[in-house]
Amino acid sequence: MKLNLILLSLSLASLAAAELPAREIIEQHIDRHTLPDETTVMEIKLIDRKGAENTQHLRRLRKTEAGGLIRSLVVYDAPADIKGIALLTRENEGQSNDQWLYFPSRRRLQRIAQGRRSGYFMGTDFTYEDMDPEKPDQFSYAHLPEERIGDHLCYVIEARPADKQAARASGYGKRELWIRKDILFCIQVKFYDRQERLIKTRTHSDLVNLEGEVWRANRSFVDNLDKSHQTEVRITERDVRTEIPDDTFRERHITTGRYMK
Amino acid sequence: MQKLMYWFSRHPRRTLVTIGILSLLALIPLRNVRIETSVKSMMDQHDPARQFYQETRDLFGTEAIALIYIEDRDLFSFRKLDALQSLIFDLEGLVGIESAISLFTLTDITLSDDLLDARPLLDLPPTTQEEADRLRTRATQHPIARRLFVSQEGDATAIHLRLDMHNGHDDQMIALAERIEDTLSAYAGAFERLDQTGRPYIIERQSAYIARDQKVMLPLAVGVLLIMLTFMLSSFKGATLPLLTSGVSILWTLAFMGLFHIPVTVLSFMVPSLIIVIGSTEDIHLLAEYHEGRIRGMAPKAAIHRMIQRLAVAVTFTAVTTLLGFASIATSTIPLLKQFGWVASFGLFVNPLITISLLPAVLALLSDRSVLMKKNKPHRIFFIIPSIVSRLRRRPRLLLAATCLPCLAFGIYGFMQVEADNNIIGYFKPDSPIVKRADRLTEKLAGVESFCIRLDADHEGAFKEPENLSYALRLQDYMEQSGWIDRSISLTDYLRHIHQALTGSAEPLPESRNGVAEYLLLLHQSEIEPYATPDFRHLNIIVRHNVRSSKKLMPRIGELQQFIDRTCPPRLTAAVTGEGILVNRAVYTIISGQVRSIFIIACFAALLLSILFKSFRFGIIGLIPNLLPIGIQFGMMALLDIPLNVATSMAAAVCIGLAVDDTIHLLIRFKSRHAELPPEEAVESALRHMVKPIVTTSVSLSLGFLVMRFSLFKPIGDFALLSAIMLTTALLADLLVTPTLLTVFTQPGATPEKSRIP
Repeated sequence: MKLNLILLSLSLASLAAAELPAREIIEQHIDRHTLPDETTVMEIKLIDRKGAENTQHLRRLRKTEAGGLIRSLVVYDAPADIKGIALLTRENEGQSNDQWLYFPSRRRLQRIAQGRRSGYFMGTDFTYEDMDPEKPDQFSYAHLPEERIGDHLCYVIEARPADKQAARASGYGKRELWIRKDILFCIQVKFYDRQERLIKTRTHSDLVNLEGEVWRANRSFVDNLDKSHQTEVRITERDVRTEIPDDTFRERHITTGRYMK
Repeated sequence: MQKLMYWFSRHPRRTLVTIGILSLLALIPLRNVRIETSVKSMMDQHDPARQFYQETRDLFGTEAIALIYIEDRDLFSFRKLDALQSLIFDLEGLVGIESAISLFTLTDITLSDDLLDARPLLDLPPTTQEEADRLRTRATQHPIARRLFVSQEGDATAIHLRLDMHNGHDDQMIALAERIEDTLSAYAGAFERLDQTGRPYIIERQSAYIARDQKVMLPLAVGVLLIMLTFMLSSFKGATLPLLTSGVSILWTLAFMGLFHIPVTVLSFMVPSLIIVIGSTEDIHLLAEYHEGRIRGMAPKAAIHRMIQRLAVAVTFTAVTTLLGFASIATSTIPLLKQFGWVASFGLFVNPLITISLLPAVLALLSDRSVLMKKNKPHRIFFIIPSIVSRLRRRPRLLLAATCLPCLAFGIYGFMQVEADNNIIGYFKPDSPIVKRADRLTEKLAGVESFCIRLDADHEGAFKEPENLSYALRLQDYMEQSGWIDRSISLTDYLRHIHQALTGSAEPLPESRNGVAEYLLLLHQSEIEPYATPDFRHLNIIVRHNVRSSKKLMPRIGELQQFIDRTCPPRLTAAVTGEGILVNRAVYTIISGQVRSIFIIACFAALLLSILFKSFRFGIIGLIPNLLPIGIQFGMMALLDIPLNVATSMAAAVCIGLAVDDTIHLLIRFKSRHAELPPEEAVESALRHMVKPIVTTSVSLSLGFLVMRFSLFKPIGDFALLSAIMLTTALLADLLVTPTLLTVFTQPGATPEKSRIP
């Protein structure tokens, strides 16, 4: 009898998962937590294999335009010798995102090649690809058995590049995402290289409910197993109410120095 | 000593049971005996530069890597690069490997069509031949990959495997080398050449060579000893007795190593063979004396009594001089030598103890029912030698001049010519796979030898400042122009690469600190951590070269350090360091250790002889013939191009300690005759009586040492050859010079009459 009950509950669980296809979970996850305007101030700690820490301070401005396309601007505020470095990202409909890097000493906005996306961003353990908004069209998603992290039951979704072109553009062979079932918020990602070896784990914690169904993590931690290096991101300030002007994401806004505080 | 030996011969069973129990107890610590091949043990432990090196290692990590060398004419083709990538993935997955640095991980920064690209030099294997050609050109021109990771022609590459030093023990390194070898064997057909080299491989080979040498040398030493003893005693059964005493001594010595956690090293592994060879000499003298007693018709117990009476003092003194020869090596500050000195001293301390207890006991037990030797006449060679020597001694002063002066001249010539050397690769013979692989790699890529230059500043971020980085560049330019350095690599090479890619400028560095900081953000921290500390207060320049001789390397390092001292800005300090440098620096300790150990053993030998004969003159007469082999040693080293290294530096002290034994036996015999006979006749008598044991022990020792010539380690082979030459020289000196000195420098009645040497 007990066995029957267990089998029944297992089948119900798989039915429930089947109810919501993996891609839909990802899309819902994106839609649910998107806000029109968001400015965050963060502290990034780079931790090397010996535990030595290097701290950076930066701001991220993010705006969702009509049509759901995202613009973002990341600006370094400290330490002094990298103050003013900026990364501008523009999401394109149905294509790869565009990215530009601004070096104050060169006073020039430099466009980043597609291949660059598998490179690490500013010495952190985030690649440029990690900084891109998730693009469901470029990946195929599949359910893995659900897992519990702490008290929370999670969907576990495997994301693989959708085609050869996407595979060449991505530095990863696959990713596994743990998405909390109750709030559809991603709390853990495991990254695998092209040989499908685990190379990196990213966890999101200190979750806060901003408004309605919108959640954010105030701490992210990347453990780069491949490089024996870690990156910790802590959000120190967050503003989701102030509208960010459109021209913030224009090249001229950056090259004229108006993006600085 | 005599009383003790008498006691042992009177209580043979008790003696044997006690030795048996002690030997059983000695089995317990055997499990602690380990083979160790640490590079640290080759350094001078009191070298002040070690502290600086340790700090540098703490700052920038270890230089120890495993290196995979791949050679193939079609390396830059889809098939080969695909196999290469797959091989790297497999190697990275091995336990004990922290990461792999290769063409697939080096960042390549380009700016084309106004697009900034900073992907790995090889991201994915090429799909077309044009792409493959483009990648080859890019790789061979890449400022960091050039000669370090790819050959000039693009037909060879290297994978640097950083080791997880938590797995740094020898056993783990050996297991890692085997795992790497297994992985490579799966790709054997994929490339024209695929070799492993680097730290784990060297440790694995060293351990294998030690094990192989043990297997070959021990049986050979036993064989040589058996042949010599059978020849001398004309009885195989009698010949096995010294093996019994040696065997027990070896067991106790290994127990001593286990108890005090002294490892088996590239030097101490030869101690068992030395115990067999050296330890048997006392047995030979004792058995010869016993033999003579029996030939003269004495009953076994009387023969034992005679043996003890005549040899107890001589055996004590010769054991002490032999022991001193090895103990003088234990005073070295190089752990490898120190450990060898301790182990060999212990072995040669317990061996005579076991000999004086076991031999009388066994002889007493066997005496009633076994004759150990046949009654035969000595070989006629033992009559011919004293007669030839006697004829040569007719013009004693001429003979002394004709023997001593050439030895002195040859020694001075050799001393001026001989090179000191202490180099890891120098331990292996030129035809060994380690040397061959290193040679092959060096043909295409930068040499496998390395050192670092550490630059320190007084404030954080100093090495983001262009003027400080410029000084590092100046040092690198100086080294590149020196002609003997294959490559130097530092943070500056990364910055120069980025700066030239982004600006096309001929200038190597950006103008401002901010410019440097911005460029650094294009690199992952793990890529620059071998070259700069996270606070940028310390910078590291890694230098690769192919100089494997200390004599050539150390003056060049001296010149480089002088250039640094002359040019280094006051705001910075800079110094050369590295594991290889510390090992090479130990040559100075080896040279001073050689002089010190010869001095110590010579002084003690002279002192002991003076005490034994209660005459300073006898002390000097006994010492002179044993110093002559030192001259021959240095001369032969120069002639045969044998360097002075950790092994060869021991030869002189060891051989004086051994050779003086025969002199002691000869002098004791001379002295006992001199009370009744004039010097000339006393010498004749002593020589006739002692020629057989002296020749037999010297030939046994020389052959025993020559067995070690078969060692796979070059310094051990050289040590063996030199020792054999020195012992043969010492034999000739004992036959020619000692008797001549005695006839020239002793007058009738000159021997102290009151001394009671039996």
